Amino acid sequence: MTNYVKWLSHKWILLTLIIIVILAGLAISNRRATARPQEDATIVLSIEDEPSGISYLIGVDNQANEVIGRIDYDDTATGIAKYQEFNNKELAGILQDIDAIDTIPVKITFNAPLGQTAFTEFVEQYQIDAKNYTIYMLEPDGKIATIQGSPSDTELVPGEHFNMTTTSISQEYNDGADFVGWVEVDGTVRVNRISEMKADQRIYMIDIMQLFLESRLTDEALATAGVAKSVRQELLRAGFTDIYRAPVAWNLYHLGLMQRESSH
Amino acid sequence: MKTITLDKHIKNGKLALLILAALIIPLVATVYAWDTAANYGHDDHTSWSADDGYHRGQNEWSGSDRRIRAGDDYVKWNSYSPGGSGHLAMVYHAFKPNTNDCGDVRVGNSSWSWSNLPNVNFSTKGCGLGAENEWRANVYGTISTGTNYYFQHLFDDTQDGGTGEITVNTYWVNIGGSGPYHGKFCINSTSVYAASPGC
Repeated sequence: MTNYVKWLSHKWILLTLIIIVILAGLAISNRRATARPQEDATIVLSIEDEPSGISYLIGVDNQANEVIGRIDYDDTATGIAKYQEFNNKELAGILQDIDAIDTIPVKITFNAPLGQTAFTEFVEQYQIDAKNYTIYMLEPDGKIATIQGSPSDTELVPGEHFNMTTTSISQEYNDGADFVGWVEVDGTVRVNRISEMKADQRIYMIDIMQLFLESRLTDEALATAGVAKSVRQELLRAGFTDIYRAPVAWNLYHLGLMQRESSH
Repeated sequence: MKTITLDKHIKNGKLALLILAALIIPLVATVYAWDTAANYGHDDHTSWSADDGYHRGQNEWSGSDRRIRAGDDYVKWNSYSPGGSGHLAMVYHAFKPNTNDCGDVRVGNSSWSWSNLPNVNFSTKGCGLGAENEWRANVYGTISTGTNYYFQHLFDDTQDGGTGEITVNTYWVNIGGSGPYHGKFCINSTSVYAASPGC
């Protein structure tokens, strides 16, 4: 009898251990598939605009104490066209509400890549205060290499950095990568230049989503989301640290909607 | 004239050596073009984190202006699935040695960055406006498994003789973002060197 009780006791211990081992194994094997980043964030605004298929979000990264924006659009040809249409509609509204001499932040995507001379002329023509720009190169296997650059105090395209990056891509990794050209520019422009820009065949779209989100980042919206007053003031003063949105140019290029020949 | 046939090469194992050399030489050449290089480690594995890669560093001078070039290459995913809403990002941080504090080395104010990651753009933050210590390659395209990717950024040493470290992580980003740490290299007043494991 005693032996039987002992055997039963051992059996249960053994069974418990087996279950623990199985569960631990499952947890470990499942870790890769289920691990998710632990974000400490407050959602201030989250909207899905059904007609356009665009969703936009304003959130506060509580760890860094920063406001972040996010814009998602469908990256098909139809989705991009709707995104373009959405921006055009919002831009029309902005033009009615803002003084002509004011400047607004814009991200301009080109219909075809521009060469350096054409890009410089474009920026000068519209007196764009360029913050940064995007250049594409084409690797031999068809991958796009993206360069993001910005002006120096004296040059729109600092020669030293331009040569370093293009040489690095062409020689260090993929011998013979082809230069494609400038595909996007981010910066500010005077409102009174927008009408002319809208008719410019070099431009695919003028993205004004930064301004669109900025107009929705208000003390009231932050208060409704439960952000403390002292923090709200700081966040409103600093504005958006970043606005995440997929570059339109890459999708245009891969969908064959961007003309491939660079304009020089 | 002596004719060397393909059969003979194969027989002697020379062809195999030639193929091996052709495969290794470009890799070694790239490795030695940098001051330091470390294979990716992992403090965690997620469905979206990079599986392999080299985290490299280089000391560069432009006149009296010291820069630190960070470049990761042969970055590869063996399997990949998204981490939910948001996007993938490869992230550099420039810290004081062995801390999470902002140090002398900062994101280059010229902010030139480059990569062959799919549909990528670059953003910076941390340490206040114009003095960022965090750099992100935000990836909006779909990662192809088994493909080699690279990304680079040129950091600025604000002291032109400062110290620090540059780390690399894979993040999943919706608003803030976080993710596995792959390693770092160290910076002293005159050079960059491998972490072992600290600086």
